Amino acid sequence: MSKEAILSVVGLEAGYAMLPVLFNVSLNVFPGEIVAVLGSNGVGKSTLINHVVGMYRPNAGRVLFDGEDITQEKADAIVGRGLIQVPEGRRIFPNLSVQENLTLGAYRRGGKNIVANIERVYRYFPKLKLRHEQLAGTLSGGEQQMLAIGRGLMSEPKMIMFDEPSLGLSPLLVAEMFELFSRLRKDGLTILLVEQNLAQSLEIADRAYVLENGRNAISGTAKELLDSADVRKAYLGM
Amino acid sequence: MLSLEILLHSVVTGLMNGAVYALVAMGLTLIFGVLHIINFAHGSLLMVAMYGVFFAVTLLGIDPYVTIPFMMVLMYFAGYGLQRYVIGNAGQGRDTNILLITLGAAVVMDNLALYLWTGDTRQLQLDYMMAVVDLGFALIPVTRIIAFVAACALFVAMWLVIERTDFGRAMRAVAKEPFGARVVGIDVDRVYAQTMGIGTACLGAAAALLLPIFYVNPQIGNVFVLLAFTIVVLGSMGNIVGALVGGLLVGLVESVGGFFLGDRLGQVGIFVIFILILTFRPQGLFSARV
Ligand SMILES: Nc1ncnc2c1ncn2[C@@H]1O[C@H](COP(=O)(O)OP(=O)(O)OP(=O)(O)O)[C@@H](O)[C@H]1O
Ligand SMILES: [Mg+2]
Repeated sequence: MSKEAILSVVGLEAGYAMLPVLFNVSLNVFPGEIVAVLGSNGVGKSTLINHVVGMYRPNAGRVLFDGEDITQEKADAIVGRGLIQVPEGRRIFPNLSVQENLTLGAYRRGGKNIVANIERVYRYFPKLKLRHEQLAGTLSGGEQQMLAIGRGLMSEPKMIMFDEPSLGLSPLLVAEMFELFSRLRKDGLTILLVEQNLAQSLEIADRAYVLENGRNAISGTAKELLDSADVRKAYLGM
Repeated sequence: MLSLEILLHSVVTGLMNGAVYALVAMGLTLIFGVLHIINFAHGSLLMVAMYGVFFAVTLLGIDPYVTIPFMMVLMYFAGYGLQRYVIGNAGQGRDTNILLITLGAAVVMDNLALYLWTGDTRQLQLDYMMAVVDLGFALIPVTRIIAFVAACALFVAMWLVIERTDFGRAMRAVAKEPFGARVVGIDVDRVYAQTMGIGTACLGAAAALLLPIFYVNPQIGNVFVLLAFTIVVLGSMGNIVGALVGGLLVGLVESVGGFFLGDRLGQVGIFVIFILILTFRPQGLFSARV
């Protein structure tokens, strides 16, 4: 790649109180890419995302977004820069209506283009439009995931990081979700994808990083990983 | 006939008191609903605000009702600062720490008031405090009517802020899903401080409305905070509309209870309700919702 990375994580060390989780983790994502981050449960994938977007402070290392150092920046400022996560467990606002959830997605933008952006989200997810007055907590799991993604889009991000978006969805919905990622990329977004669904992720991803024990283990193009005997044995059961 | 008139009179008086109680309770329930902390300093903050109004009237010659906007702003910043710089820092998010901090703040304020202003009970003397309005079935002091109308207006204003504004939406989001709120770029610590500020600003208004119909001394906060806790539990913790209904109900029970049992025992009815609610319907009459 000749272009400059939109997101660079360099030597990240992070953890919680007494528990170190990530050790010297580095990765790059280039504009327009879909990059998958893979690894077994508890390896630190969510920890990585949460430290990148400023939910927690890393112990060492740097995070660069769009050419600027955001390691010490607050979470709300990072959203303002155009980097957003769709978090694990969705974290939508159950006591607010669908439309209010979407409106809050644009909170950092202070209400600019809200109507147009909500219409855009409803084009991606027509089902949400039908339910726009319903309390988000009463949506089905799949609808809640759509809402979480829609809420993320409301901030007009340059890059989205999805943390296990297919968790708990039916195979049909998972397939739809993966189609959506390709569509979002076509519409100009850069995507980092954390997934358990390894085979499907590698199908749509350009490149992937595999974490083991909180460290970088394997990385390469999706094709290289699919062809790698180690990956096939450890993660694809083949 | 006469006793029916007195009963009607106590019903109206009860509702009018209740609206102001509800204002005190609204602050408490808002803080609980969003920050999930029980603010034991609430009553003491009300007491300090009442002294503020008292001195503004007696020393500066300002009308108590004119002090409302100023008291609300001052109390807003008191609450904002308390959350941002004391509870937010020293609390470290632990419930026991926060509980001790608010209790400690209450003790400090109560004793400072005792030291600065002595234990004397003070009352305002204004010529219109004697004026009454004839509602046809009852003669009601002007000061109570003002308190009732102003408290209801503040309620409506607060409800509109919570339901209709960006800030209100953010507040409701933070109440239930603070992590998700941070994800979308809401500065959660700031919303906490602002909520504490607004909840405390209610006390600034309540102080100005209460002083002409009541009195102030360093213990006065306890009287109202006990009522407020009852209202908050009755109206379901964290529920604004519940606080209004609960406030009116408690005012009514107190006043009508006083009619049947005598002034001294009027409040007994309230605590009977409190215990009954805790026993049979601890979630309150409504569902918890900010
Ligand atoms: N907020 C937290 N406080 C303390 N420890 C945490 C916290 N979040 C995660 N951990 C711990 O950090 C380690 C990494 O967790 P993390 O959620 O990042 O894993 P993950 O790779 O996302 O796993 P999964 O695939 O199950 O989502 C785990 O041991 C977990 O228990
Ligand atoms: Mg995870």
